Amino acid sequence: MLLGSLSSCIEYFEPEIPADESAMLVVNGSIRSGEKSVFVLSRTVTLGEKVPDPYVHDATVAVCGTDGMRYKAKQNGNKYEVWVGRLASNEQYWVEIVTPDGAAYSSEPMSPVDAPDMVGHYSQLGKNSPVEFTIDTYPTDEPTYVSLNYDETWEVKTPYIPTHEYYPREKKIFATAKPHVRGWGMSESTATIIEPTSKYVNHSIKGYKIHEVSSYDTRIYLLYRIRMYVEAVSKEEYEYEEARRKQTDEMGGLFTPQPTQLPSNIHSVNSDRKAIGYVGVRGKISSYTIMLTRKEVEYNEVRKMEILSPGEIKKLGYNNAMLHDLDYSVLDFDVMANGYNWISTWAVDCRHYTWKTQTETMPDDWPDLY
Amino acid sequence: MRNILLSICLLMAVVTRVSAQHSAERVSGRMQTTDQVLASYQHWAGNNGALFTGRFVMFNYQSAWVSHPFLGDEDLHQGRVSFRGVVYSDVSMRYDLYNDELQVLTPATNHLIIPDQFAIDWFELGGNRYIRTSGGFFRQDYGGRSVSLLTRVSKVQGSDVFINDKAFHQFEQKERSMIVTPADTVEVKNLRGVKKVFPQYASELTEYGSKHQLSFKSGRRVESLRSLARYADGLHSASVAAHRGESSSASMVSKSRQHQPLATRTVPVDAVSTDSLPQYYASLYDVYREGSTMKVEVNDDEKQDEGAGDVFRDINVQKEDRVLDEVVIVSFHSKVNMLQTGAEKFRPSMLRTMPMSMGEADVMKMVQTLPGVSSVGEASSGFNVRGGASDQNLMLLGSNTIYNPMHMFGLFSVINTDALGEVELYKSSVPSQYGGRVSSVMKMNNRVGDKQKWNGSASLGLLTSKAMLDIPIVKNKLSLMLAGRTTYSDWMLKLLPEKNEYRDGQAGFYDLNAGLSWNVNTRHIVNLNGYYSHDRFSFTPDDKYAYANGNGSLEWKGYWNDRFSTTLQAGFDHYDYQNDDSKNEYREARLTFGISQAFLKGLFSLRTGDRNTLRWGWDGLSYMLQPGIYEPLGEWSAVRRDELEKQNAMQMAVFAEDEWKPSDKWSVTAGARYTIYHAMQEGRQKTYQAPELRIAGAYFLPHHQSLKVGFGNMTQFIHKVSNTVIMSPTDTWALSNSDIRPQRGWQATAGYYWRSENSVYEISLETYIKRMQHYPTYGNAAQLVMNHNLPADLIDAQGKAYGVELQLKKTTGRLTGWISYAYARTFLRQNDKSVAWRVNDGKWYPADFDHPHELNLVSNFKFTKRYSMSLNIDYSTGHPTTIPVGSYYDEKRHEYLPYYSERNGYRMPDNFRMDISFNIAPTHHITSATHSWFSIGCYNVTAHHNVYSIYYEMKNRVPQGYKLSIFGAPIPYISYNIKF
Repeated sequence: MLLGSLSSCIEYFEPEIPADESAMLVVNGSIRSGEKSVFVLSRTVTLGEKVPDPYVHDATVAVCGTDGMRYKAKQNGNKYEVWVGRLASNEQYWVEIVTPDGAAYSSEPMSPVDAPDMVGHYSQLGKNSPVEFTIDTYPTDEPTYVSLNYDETWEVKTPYIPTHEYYPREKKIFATAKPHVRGWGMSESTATIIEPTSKYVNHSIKGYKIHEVSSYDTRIYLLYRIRMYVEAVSKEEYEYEEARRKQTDEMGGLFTPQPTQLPSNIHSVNSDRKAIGYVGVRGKISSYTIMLTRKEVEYNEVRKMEILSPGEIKKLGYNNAMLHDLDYSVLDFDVMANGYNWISTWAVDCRHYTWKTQTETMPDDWPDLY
Repeated sequence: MRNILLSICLLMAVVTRVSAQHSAERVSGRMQTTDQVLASYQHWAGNNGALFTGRFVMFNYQSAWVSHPFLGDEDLHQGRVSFRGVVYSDVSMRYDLYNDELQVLTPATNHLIIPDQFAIDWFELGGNRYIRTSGGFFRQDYGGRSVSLLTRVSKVQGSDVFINDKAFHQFEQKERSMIVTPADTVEVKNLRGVKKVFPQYASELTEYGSKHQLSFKSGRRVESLRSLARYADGLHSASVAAHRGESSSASMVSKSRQHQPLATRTVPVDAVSTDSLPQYYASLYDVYREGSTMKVEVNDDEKQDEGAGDVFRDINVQKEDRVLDEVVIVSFHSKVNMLQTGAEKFRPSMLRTMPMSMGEADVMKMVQTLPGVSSVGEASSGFNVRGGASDQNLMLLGSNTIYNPMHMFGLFSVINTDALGEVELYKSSVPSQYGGRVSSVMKMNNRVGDKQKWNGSASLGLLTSKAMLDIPIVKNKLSLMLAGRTTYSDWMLKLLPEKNEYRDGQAGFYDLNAGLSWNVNTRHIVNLNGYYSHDRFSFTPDDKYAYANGNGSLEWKGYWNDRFSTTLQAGFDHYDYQNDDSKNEYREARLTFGISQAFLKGLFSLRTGDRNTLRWGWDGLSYMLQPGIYEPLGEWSAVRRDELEKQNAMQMAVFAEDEWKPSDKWSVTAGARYTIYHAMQEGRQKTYQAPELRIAGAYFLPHHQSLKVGFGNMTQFIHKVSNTVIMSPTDTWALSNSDIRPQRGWQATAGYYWRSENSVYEISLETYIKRMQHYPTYGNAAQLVMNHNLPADLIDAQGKAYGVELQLKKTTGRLTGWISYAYARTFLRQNDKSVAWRVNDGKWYPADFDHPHELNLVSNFKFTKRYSMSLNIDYSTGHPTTIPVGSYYDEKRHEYLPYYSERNGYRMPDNFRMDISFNIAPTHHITSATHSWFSIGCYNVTAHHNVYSIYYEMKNRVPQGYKLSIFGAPIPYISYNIKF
């Protein structure tokens, strides 16, 4: 074994990939009853390659049904979005795609599957404990596979409102025209969790933790909303997601199971080209929304906030540029000291990274409480 | 000085005579005559005195001769004399070649006398025996059954020499050799003379003389004549025996020659040498001459598959040169003569000259050089036979089943070749007495300890060492064989650089064999065998693996007469493994698995006629399987104990087989096996029945050719649970039950075989097709460890395989070995309709062990009897693999993920390996107490990187592929072996 170890050899492996297995179409998305169906089209690339824009643009995407419906999706950036309304459980639906190069694809027609009803919970054991979000589904007669997801939105507001602002390029301080004190962040689940309800008594999921937020996470600083939802998926889609999950975790080592080509329910109708992805058809989607303020949960502020007076700044020998680099921002002008008070940036700027915000525009469905 | 001595002798003689006379007088009280005195002396002396009665030596040569007439020198030397049938030892004597008389020295009185020469039967002096004939004493240079070589050694008066103008006589030694046969006695001087005695063997004698470069010049003539006499004796004796219908072996009783001898099955001389098998249990069928070759037919009573079934006797292959000068046994179990297709038989002694992996002869590596046998890659566990998975091979050590046949991930086999007897591999046409696996049966017979003398062997290599010892506890009755092997690689791992990930690893194994053999009598044998092997390894100190095989069996063989024999076997087998994970003290845990089985088997063989043999019996097996226990390890572990449900099952089979040879041209073997299997797992009880058919036919064509066909179906009730390409440390086994159906398969084969006239060359061409049902495959990336619902992840698959195998073999001469080529394909298909996603959409795809092309060369060249070289070449198509063919952007995870090809849609690079070794035997004397030899060689001479595995690691969030080769460089080795 020693000799084997010493003489064993590891070399790079770059396989030669035939043309029909390169630049394959990748379809993400599903047909949703009563909600906006969103599809993202992209292309596979060679191993190790990164392209700035892997997406497929100017494709024709349409959701069709055996009831005769055909809804064409609109391109919105990288996505193709379409509202298909309520889907009938006794009809079948599929998506048709025509890429700019003329290749046509179609997903397998499927009937929508309704998700079981659900209820969500949150809990926090103490100030230093995270806030946990769990779901329960109602019992059903037949087992099914459910996809558990969430999206979250949070609002933040800085504890201080600055009157002035330092512009590093001009190296000057100006009065703030519009302070950035209120902002919103959004996020959604990145991992696809699919649970078979057959594992549970009466096919009812109990206490499944879907998400948690740390007590010092700024998401729960002011107002936080989480929308947990359950979608029913087919067994095929479950196995597809399992295969996808396993293939990313274990990649063909010596003692790991052999991977295999991802199953797909999308096929080309005018060529032998393959496609990747699974387009499922969701019926009724069960959701549960929880909104949390400081009253419901305990936020644990761990950030340090420091206000520096002009005198302290002078004593420290900092100039404006140095303060800016040290993550301070102007708070206001101290007339008595004839100088500006500076403060930790996060305390006056909702765009600070600790707030995890993406916009200062309030979402449409957001309660304007603050 | 001599004159003084002689005078003293004379004086002493006189005194003695007077004393004797006076003694006689004193005894009897009256004066007696000399004759009366001598008679009285002989009466009291008895036989002890008979030799020492005679006339005194009187002749004095000294004054007129410059040389002496004696054999060797004038001094007296110790020897033996047979006088009137009584053998006298330690007699001081000398032989007068001039007068052709033996002189002896009386032991008590030191008188040199000449006894009655005509009463001397023979005497031994100077390492030679001289026998009395009508023409005087002759030195017996060779004494065989039918031929003797006697040499008359004499001295005659030569021409005088003049010293100081004085003439002195001198003696000249003459030798005349005679060939003595029952018919005649002829003086011979050279090869021509011997040929005149045996005109019927003239060509053989000429060839023999040429081959051995015999010289008849003075000084070498006698040796050459001896060699010719010995050879001629062998030819003549065999011929006589052939005519008489007798066996040429003194210990054997051959049956009457009412039928033609079977096609010759000849055996390499190495195979029956005492080096490898001191006692070869077989009955000598016949010895006869065919053309210019001596044929020795043996019938292996272990198998009795040739139907001759002679009375069982021990046969010891004698190393006695006087019987035969050389037996060139040209081939072992020629395929032409075997009744089955796809059968391979060999002895582990063949491994000695093959290049060794890691310096150790390996029977598993040897098997993989045979056509139709492959492996997934180097250092992989198990092997694949004609498209079958590795768990579809039944591996038997004696009557015991071996579940894990490899040490250290396939680097070494678990079997110590020194503890092995014959090895048989049935790739098809499996005899009906075997069952339980779909693809093949590999039976390794245990070595039986030598019951006559102590034997042993030892081997010292860079990584492993082994030893074997035969102990004759009761001579010819009871013997004990002990063998052991171990490795010592841990200290070597510590020599690795600190950065090397294996530096903290551990690896080691040992195995032990023991066998007690008792010859109850000439007809009954009892064997008790035991085997244990243990492996341990760990890549890091907190992840350890260990597994063990344990087997024991008791066997009774009874040979009731020359037609009927029985074999009863009982025993148990056990295999287990454990994996300790202590990376995190709070999650420290141990995973274990174990399987045990107890068996009882009976085999009966009845030769109903000269051309018909019937075999039948039963085979009972009880399985006890613990699929997995996961339990906490360490006091801080928070792991909750989990245990999979135990599995129990019973398997009972009855079988019968008839081997019929209606004529010398063709034979048929038809057998059937019926198995009932019952799974006793609660909630999953199920009974399966499996009728199986085994048919084989052979048609023997002229000029040593044969055509064969075969068909058989097999059923398998135990399955290896594995979805990795190579053996995983956590591979387990599962029994069939209501959810897991037994595997079934059938195979049809056909073959053509040819052997050259002199059995030097052999060609075989075989083709086969095979089908498998209910082959267990698993869902995509199924989790198999501690899976409480394994059947849910198990997917039935079909399998199909076909191929053509061609082999050319050379069995004798300085160059021996074989070259084989096989074209073979194996495909699988998941066609279980209940599965949502079938691999490759339910289409046929190449199996993991699909190698379309395989080429093997195994060769050994003997420079001399002491030096030989071996060369092995292996080439095969790379095995299939599944690779990521691209990556795609995942919207949710915001990263690129790999996308894999169809299962086994690609192939690894082709494999090629060349191994070479030199074998040096310093001692080559038959009579040496020990025989030792060195093996020096190199594995993978060309340093070809044979890809063992392709795997991927994320580099900067992008999958990067790597090829792993186990042996990336030439691996030299040296081992020292000794037998005693």
